[in-house]
Amino acid sequence: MSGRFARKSVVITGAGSGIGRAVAHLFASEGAHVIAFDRNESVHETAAAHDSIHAVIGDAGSEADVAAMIACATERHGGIDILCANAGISGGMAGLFDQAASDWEAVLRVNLIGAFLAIRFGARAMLDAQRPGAIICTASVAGLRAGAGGPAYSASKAGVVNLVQTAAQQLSGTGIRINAVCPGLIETGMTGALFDSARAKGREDMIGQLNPLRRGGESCEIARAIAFLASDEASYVNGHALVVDGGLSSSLPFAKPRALGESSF
Amino acid sequence: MRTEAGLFNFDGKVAIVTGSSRSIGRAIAETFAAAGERVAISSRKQDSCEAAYVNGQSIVVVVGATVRGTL
Repeated sequence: MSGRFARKSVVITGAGSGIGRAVAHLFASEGAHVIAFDRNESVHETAAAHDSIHAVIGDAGSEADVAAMIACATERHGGIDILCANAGISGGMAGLFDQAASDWEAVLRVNLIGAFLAIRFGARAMLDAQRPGAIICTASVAGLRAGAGGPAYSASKAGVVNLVQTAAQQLSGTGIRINAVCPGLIETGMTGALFDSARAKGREDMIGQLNPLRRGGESCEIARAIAFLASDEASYVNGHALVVDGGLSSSLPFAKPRALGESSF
Repeated sequence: MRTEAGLFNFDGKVAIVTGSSRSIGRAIAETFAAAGERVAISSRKQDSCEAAYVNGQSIVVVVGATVRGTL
């Protein structure tokens, strides 16, 4: 199979839906051998689309499950070239006074500890096989600014952004590159309820109106950014958090900006 | 649904790259040209632009990018 990622060994956590599924399909369509990891059975649907995708069921926050999944990828494909630590949960939009420590533990376990485990076992496998590759973590614009998620979610994603910087520094001299992508509002399994609610109210046209492109994003638009960071085209990009949000985080929410030529009143 | 294919396919597009007679700007121009784009190379120096001529599709334009109206 030819393509940008021909015969590359790729691992994706959270591949049962949304961005992770789009990433699995994009890499597979460009020639990669993919391990699609998710705790949800829907990961089998992800794998059904391509012969080169192998589904593994497991919990991204479990040390044993992540270690086993990385071992499976190494055994099947001889090593790991690209690791996408993508699994995440939103934990809901409850505010500071409505969240308990247990809510935080659940969110941090998947979103932050899950990313750490994927990096730890994935990078170890790359070093053991002497195949330094690329690691991409799915963070969020919620990790850069307030207002795009609940407190635990936002803090977990801010943690992912710093984890990527810290890991890049810790992996100095290994040749492994590690970056994050920070999606804005994307319709996925995680945000589906928000989109469904807007449609039920007939307010679908309001989705994404706070960003200059005035629309929500699609999973494949994040997948393409992840593929760029994973590719040799990003050979000097390291320790970076790439925002892919239609411009949402680039401006202050002072007022809805007018389009060029639109009347002031 | 936007397609997943077509990354870095710039067929039929036109690019203007200022400061593109050498180093980073030149690499940008060459990258666009390799991806099928028509590229306008820009520098204040005619000689530099001619030296940077990338392929048959490139157009050399000598301008000062800071001079209003020349671009």
